[in-house]
Amino acid sequence: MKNDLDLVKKCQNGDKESFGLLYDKYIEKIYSFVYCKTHHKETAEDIVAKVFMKAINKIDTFKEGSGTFQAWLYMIARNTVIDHYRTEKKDANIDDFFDLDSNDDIVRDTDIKIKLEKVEKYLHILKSEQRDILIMRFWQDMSFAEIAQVIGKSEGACKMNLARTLKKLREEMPADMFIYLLLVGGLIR
Amino acid sequence: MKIQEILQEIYKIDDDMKNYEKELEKIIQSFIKEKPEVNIDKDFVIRLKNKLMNQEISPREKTKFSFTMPNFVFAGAGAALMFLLMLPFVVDFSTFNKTNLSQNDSWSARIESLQKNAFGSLSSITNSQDGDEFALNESARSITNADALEASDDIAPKQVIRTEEAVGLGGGGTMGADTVSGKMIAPYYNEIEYVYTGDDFDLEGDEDLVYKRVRSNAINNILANGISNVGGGLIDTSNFSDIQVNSLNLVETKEFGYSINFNSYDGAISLYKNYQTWPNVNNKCRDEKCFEQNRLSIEDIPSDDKIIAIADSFLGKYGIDTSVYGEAQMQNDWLSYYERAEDKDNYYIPEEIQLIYPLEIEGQTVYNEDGRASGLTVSVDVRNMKVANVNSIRQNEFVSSVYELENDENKVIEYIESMGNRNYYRGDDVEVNKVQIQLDNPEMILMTYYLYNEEDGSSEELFIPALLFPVVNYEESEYLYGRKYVTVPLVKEIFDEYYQQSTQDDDFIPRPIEPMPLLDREDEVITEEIDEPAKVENDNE
Repeated sequence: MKNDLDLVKKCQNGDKESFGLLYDKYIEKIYSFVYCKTHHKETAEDIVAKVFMKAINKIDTFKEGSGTFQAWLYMIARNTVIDHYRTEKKDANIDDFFDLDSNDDIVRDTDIKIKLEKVEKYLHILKSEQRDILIMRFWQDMSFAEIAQVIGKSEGACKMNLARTLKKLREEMPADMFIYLLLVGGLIR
Repeated sequence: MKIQEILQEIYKIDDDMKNYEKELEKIIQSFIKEKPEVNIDKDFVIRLKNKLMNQEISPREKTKFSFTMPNFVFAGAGAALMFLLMLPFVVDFSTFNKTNLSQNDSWSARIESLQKNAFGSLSSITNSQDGDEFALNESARSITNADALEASDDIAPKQVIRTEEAVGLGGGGTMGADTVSGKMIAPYYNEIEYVYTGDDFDLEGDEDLVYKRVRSNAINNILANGISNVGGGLIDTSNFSDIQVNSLNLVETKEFGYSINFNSYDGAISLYKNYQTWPNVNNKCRDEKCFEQNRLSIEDIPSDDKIIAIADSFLGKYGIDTSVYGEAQMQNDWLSYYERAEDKDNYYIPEEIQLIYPLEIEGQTVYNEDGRASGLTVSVDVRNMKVANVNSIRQNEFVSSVYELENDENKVIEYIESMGNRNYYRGDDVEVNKVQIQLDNPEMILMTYYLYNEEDGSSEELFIPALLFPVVNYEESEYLYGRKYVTVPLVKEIFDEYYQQSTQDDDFIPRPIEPMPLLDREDEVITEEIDEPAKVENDNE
């Protein structure tokens, strides 16, 4: 299996098929990331389409040695989500769904509302960057090295950010939440 | 397994978190468990792929760039090699292919994370400062406010020494034009009070990253190897061992040439005009009239945009890496003094205007303790419309470490309002001029801080979290106080030290020396009577 860098180099030389292989590899991950931040199927699809269009049009800007292709793609995805909300809501402080006020005209899929029921309110209290790092580390299984490339900061800063997030959640998450988890986890009956 | 992996990564920068391991495990477990299952529409996947495959990808063009070697005169046989070896530290070739989707790789590559408190104690009790007073030290600030002392005569008080007081002070005579007019010193003191007038603010987090600049010895070693045999027949340098090259100077001999100083001890490169090759209109002046005629007028000063464009162009031409700096900020304090001067015709207009490209570490702008931006400084010669000098060209690499912060906002406000010199003893029946410095909402910044190593006398440059409070009534207090900002370091051990010093209730604090205003000569002048010299008797008479 060809690695990402080889495929990118081929793309940069005009080989569309190589980009197709990269697309197949990352479409679901990028869609999952974007959907977690938008909570709406059509919005997520629109943004993901923009992400891959940008990627293919700007593939020549990807530099070897400057990070992984995955991190580069996630960076484009994150920025495209931010642009979407700031343009749509004309508010520079809104980066994704979680920054929306309950008074905003929110379009959202019902099923994700149910799926995130247990943790959503905690995601709301976090800042955009904290939330993204949490999502990328816990749900997307990305390394801190890659997260740092996406966020544009050092690994240390990203780890520090997550440490602060956990401290904040420790203060906010009540004891009964832990008991629920222990029940669900079968550790207590 | 995954949970432990995540925790171990965090413990590397903050091992205190181990105290809460059970709770943290539960939090991480809860989020991992609640990860939503996301189902993507397969039709969408196919549609999008088809659309992408119909896009044309333009093959990448070979990157073309040229680097013109400046016409430098080399100091020695090995110097050419040295200069070429140094180029990677100065020239960022990747900037020739910038696009809007440039990758955010700068900080991942430039910052190495160390364990918590890796730099040891940051307290000045154990680490003396590098000769600078703190912004926290109000008395020192008011003493050394050079801006106030340089202000126009009719605005800022000047320090004048009467003839009789000048005796014995080493300087001899008096200073300042005011003594010519017969002005005297009048004793009054400025009582400075700080008041926070901004909104309530929160200090989030009780820890944050402190950064330390990394000094590289690579330049030293390469240069030393390169010049080990350049004695020129006058000296055999091969017999020296453990050589380091601390400083190297290259000069351009062409018109408007430059001199470049490589200082490997500071890890910085400075560039300034080679004065011998720059025209000086005053060289042929033989009288004051000639100097006066050559002086610049305010109309000669170009717009800020034009000055910035000259600086930007220069930095780009010589490939000076600006990727870690923000946009240029003009340093136009002189202009505010000019605008207040009554005699503008005779006000000295500077020949060089300075700009600063502020250093930005992970999105945070770096400031000095006086509230001025810290970074790459460029001066533009406005007579010749060329860059005159560039200072602090550095290889910007850092290490970071977590340190505990002060996060009690009330304590911070208490501290800044305890600054000032209200408690200083100044004697009875002394006129006091009360000055209130009003501070507005603070901003989180990084502040430069020097960690002094008493063992070898070196200083290390740190960048610590701090608050930057703007002075609201700067216009009113400018000539007595002179700073637009007040900084407060938040690293706990540093903050605690200065909080203790500032809020302690001393019975007596020594009076600081302050510049004094002038009075007309109405009061009696006390003069010393000089006794007749004793007559020496000659024993032989």
